[in-house]
Amino acid sequence: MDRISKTLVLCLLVAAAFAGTAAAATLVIGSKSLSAGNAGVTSCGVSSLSATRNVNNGGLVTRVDVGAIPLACSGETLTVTLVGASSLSLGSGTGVIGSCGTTCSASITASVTNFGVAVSATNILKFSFAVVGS
Amino acid sequence: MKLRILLVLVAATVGIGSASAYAATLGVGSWHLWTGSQTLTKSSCTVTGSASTVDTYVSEASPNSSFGGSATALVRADLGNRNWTLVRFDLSTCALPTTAGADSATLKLVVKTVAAGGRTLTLTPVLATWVGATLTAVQAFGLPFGSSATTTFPTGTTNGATLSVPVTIDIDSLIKSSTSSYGWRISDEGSTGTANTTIFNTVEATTAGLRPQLVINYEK
Repeated sequence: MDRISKTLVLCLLVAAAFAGTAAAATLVIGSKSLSAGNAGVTSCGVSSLSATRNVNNGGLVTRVDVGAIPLACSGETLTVTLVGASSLSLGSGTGVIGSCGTTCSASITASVTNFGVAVSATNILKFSFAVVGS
Repeated sequence: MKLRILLVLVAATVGIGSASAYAATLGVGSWHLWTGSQTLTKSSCTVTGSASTVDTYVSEASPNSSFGGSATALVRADLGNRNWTLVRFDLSTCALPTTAGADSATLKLVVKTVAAGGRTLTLTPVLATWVGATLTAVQAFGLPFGSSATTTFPTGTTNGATLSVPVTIDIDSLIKSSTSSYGWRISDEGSTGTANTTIFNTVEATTAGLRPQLVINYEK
């Protein structure tokens, strides 16, 4: 009897634990559903990126070009952040990585032209990149 | 014993069922993400001196004369009597890598004599080579120039002042294209009819501090 009681208690605890989880899984916020989990995120083949930037005559950045992007990244989104002293973000912008067009080569490019604010090239100490896509 | 096995199986089934529901709604497994950075190195270069600077002026009134050895250079607006000053620098002494980019570039000129009330001058890139020692107005007027001016700048009204003229966009472009620097033409596109000649010191000036300079701050 004792063994049966202990077993029942154990089963109830297990059931209660999963019941709590089940309640979370069916939680409703408005008309949206909620779920959670994790999964591995891979790259489209980028190992490093290098940028060049153009300036106007006042020394403000007008465009950042990033080249030698793997073809597999075509259509994905490139975010370039202009980083200044103390690792502060001076401005950030996004661009769509180009397709290979009519003539495919080993790599493709992307350009970012809007950083939200005017940024002096003198103040930029680092480019930070993010390539995101599916 | 059978009851215990049965209860364990029920609990395990509930647990596995809940876990399976999670996996079925997970939607992030197919995304790509890569982040990285590129650190920039800053440097600067000042180009000055007779070995790296070529300047002269031309006179529309003396179309076949050259003034490459003059210690002064004139800029004048009057049609038929126009004067242009031309100046260029040899950037090879800076050893700029082609991957570099100009953060800022400033042409520094010392004005010897300003026109009464000051003038606004126009700086335009020259697109072909020219010989400072022998350039005439006839030759200069046949040179190709940029389709638009790099900038305009006021001379101010003070004799002996150093004028700082931004030329960042031209130097940045030169570095990236690895083309030769043919320098700039300085002209006066303003009103005529009054005394409007501006006189600059050239690289032939006796005092080194009066000579033209090009100051480049760049990243690489």
